[in-house]
Amino acid sequence: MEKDFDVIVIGAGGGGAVVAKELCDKGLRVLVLEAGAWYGNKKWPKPNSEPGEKSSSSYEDLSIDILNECFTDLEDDMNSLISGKFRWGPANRQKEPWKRLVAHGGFTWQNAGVGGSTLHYLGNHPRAYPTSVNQVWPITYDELIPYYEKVEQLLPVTNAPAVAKEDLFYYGASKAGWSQHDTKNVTTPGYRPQPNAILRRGQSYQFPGEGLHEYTNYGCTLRGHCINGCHIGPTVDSVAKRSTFTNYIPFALLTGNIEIRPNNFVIQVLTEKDNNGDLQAIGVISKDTWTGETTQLRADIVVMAAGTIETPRLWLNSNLPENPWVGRGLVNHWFDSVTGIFEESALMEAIGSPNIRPFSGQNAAARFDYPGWGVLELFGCSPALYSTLGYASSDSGFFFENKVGDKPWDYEGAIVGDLLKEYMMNYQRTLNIVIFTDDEVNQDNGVTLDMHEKDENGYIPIIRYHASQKDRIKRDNLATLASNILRTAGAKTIVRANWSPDIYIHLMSTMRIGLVTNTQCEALQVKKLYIADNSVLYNSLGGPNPTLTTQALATRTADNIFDKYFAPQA
Amino acid sequence: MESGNNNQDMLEEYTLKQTKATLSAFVDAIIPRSEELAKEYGEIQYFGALDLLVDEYLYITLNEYQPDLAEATVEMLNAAAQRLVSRVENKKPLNLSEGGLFASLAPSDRLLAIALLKKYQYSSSHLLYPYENIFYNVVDNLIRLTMIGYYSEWFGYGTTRLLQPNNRVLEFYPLSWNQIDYPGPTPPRQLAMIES
Repeated sequence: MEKDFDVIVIGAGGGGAVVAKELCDKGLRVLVLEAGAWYGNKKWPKPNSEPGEKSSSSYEDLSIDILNECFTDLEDDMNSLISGKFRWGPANRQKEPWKRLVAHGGFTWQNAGVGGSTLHYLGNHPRAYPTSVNQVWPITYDELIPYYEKVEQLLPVTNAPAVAKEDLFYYGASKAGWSQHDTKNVTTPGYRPQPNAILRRGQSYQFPGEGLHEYTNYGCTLRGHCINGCHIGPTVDSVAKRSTFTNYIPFALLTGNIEIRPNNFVIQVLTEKDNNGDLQAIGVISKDTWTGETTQLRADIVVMAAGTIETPRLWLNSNLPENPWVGRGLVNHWFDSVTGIFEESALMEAIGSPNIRPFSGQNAAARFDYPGWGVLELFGCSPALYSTLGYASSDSGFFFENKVGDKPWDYEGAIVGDLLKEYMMNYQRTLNIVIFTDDEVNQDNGVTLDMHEKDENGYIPIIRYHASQKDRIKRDNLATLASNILRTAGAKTIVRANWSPDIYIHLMSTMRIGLVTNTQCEALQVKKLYIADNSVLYNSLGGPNPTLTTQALATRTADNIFDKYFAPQA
Repeated sequence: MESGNNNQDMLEEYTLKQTKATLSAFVDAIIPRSEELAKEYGEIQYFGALDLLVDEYLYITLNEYQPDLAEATVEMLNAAAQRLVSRVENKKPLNLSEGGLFASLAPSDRLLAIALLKKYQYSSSHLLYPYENIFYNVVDNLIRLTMIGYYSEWFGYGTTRLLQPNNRVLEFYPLSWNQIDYPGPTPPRQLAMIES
């Protein structure tokens, strides 16, 4: 059978869009199959209620007007896990979300759609900690640096601006005796502005099209809806928050070498034996999420970028060879949340303003890095998500069930009743810090199939995760550090949520480099099959947000694919 | 399904007294009406989840795609209440009614029943049922949904709040935003005119 494309990429998220664009730049013909909707494209004017067309290959199809209609800034409309536009489910909101079993309850907070989970992400792009890569990964940190630099320039990554909440965080951290980092390669504890991919007002940037597209009125307006879907900009490719649908996808469209089909769930990777008897990928079977129609497609190379849960699920559902690390080794930074509530007088003293206004400014514009423990990330957003993150999720039950004793916080557990209302009355004077733990890889954690239950896309995934005692200690240390910063800044009341380990946000490392793939990210047991999403990360990076490292690796993987299979022979 | 009013139909079925009473009792325990707060901070702080119809939000969200999930939740909450009462761990007298045992508990005792449910949900198949095979962390999800229902825009969909998500339009900003001094998205979202 003739090939349809040079390369098929499964998934148009944080990794898939990157590998696709880089391969298009090299002149290869690339097909991207994306399970979810495409927001901001004329071919899908009503992406959640009408099937629209089959594919888009043209930059001219992008439409900021449609994006503005789709992204409403409204939390339930955008972020409901059941029926929100950013959910793990089909574009058609009349249909239920795709099912996953999470042992011990819980949920995975991922998005289907062109852009993947960068649709709701906060735009943060720190590098991994060098100490979590060197002598740990099968490649060195130095090998990543040129790719980090390339991605940082394209996105582009810059230091986030400060408004009241960042000023207060820096005030507390500095007063507590910590110093500010001025490096991207972090080896010691300290705080810094978030390295993020949110265009600042007036920041000069070379948009796709090399001079064809000059815009004046673009950049972040600090209105605080990163998590609800940024649509601020004169065009899709100049939207302030640099989800991959705003940069890598438009860049790829401009090459003329790409076709992107949203609403296509890949249900099988096709393989055959080559002349040497080695297994190799030859294509995929994809299913239209509106009609249920399946299509078989062939290419020289297949890249899996379906995400940390779906990539191993697809491997297993395709009956690809057994490997003790497929689906195994899941880490998720076992999040926690510490919230400080301030009185006006303390705020006046610290920042000269009576309010923090957590809904204003970028959602996560400052951070504290602590190699060996993990990360503190300042967080603020609109009130529904804010209340659930700070007060609704706890492994310790309700606040009244816990004695905090000499711990540095005042309450631990979920806050409900009159106390919840009282704390939310102080929403304007609340500072929240989210914790990412440097959690350890454990082969028992990960993704398997439920062999008793299928949905339309195959056996459904079961997700398991247990934290280790070491993880627990690191996380407690981070909660203490966060509390000390808040208290030093003047917080009157501090609440530690102590999240259950079953809320999955930074999912990583279920198809680890060196164990499931070789150091080039090509599967060890299936030639011409590559992996380019968070699943291929070797570990939790020490705590930093995973997107940049995944994108750096995906850029490197595109080079590897081209050099091995397409470069003219010398 | 195209008419987008099946939530409306579902809600009409929602006349089962016990289902309504139990979900109402749940959201009322999480976000109560507060006379004390009203006295201290102004009348607007009196209002709670019942005033913003968050029991309806919980009902339609639970039943959106899996019919009977709301009823299953109610059964579970009642099982938890039964366990609390049989251990004589309720602190206040019951106010028995047709609404079922959970709804008969004082709000503070409902929280104790929920805490009990959370503690035992993984070790007691009786309390876990029928959640064994679905993707909810029962208790935390119910609490999260209650807060999302209350502090998100949902109540502001007004007369369209029970329609399918694609067909809802914002008619006003919810009262909960006034309670917490949240101005809403800036610039303000355009509000729909209510057809008379």
